Amino acid sequence: MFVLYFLLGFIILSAIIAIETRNLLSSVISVGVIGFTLGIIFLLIGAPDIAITQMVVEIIVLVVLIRATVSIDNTTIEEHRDTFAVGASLVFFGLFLVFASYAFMDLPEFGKPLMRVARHYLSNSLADTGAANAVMGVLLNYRAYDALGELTVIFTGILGAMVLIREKGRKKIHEPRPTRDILERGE
Amino acid sequence: MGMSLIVKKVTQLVIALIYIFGMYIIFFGHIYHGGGFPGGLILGCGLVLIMLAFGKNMVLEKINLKTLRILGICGLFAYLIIGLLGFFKGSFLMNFIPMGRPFYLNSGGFIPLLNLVSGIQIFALLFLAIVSLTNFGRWVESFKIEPDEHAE
Repeated sequence: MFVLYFLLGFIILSAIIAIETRNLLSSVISVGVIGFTLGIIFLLIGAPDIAITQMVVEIIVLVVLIRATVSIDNTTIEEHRDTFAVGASLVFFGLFLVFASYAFMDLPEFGKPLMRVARHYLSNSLADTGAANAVMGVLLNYRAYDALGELTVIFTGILGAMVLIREKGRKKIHEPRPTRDILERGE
Repeated sequence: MGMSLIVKKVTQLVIALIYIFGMYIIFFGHIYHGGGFPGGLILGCGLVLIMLAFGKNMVLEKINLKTLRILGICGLFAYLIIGLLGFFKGSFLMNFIPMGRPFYLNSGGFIPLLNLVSGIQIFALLFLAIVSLTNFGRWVESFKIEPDEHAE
């Protein structure tokens, strides 16, 4: 349990460094450290499927962020801090923490869950679904409809982003429109 | 374009292992850890690694983006069709494949099939998203306003 607290403190320290540092590359790497440590925490509390997904998504996000931010010329950030905005956000966040701590007292203790439906799933997963991995049995047999919803969200999000970023269809002021988009040029 | 010779050689040596590992996670998702989602992400990351090491132009010449787009769309529709086939056994998304012995590759009913379908879809869509993002910078730069636009 002490290791989890230590890793949590490491995440908080890395988040503070990500905000306060002036070098852009250090800030992006600190964001990557947050995701990586979260993947380690998932491994330590016994969720390897989520740990694999978290690590791979963190690597993709880090690669995209580094390619997007480090190629610009100005790599230091100089900004004035807006005191009123920071003060107001701290006050509201403090209020939220006070009320949330009352709500968290009512949850069951960490490590002793209240398993009502989960007890049925864990004991009958191999007989009903035939899958030895109980996580896959729940995700793709008992709750297969939710996996369909996840895939639809990913599909809609990525196709929407691709439509918004197209070259074709945007009027350029002094150049003729390209005749074919890059997504159709690879034929 | 791309990176130095060391990165290119290491990528050539390692990319086959990355693809075998990704397909292992997809196919054995119902026995060991993993499943369709992490497996598809790992395959997509392998393609992004090729794009980073060898340059964008070389990859876009060799890979047909229209095929990837059709693969990504067909993945979701294959999931829906497997769900509609479940009406033979009662309801939507009901298991209709007979279950084999546990801990073998043919156990789990239609779970390996759903893993494969979702893995293909995520692999195709992830690579298309990153290709679109790499063109975004040039698209934004092409909108620089010329000086004579301000004179009104």
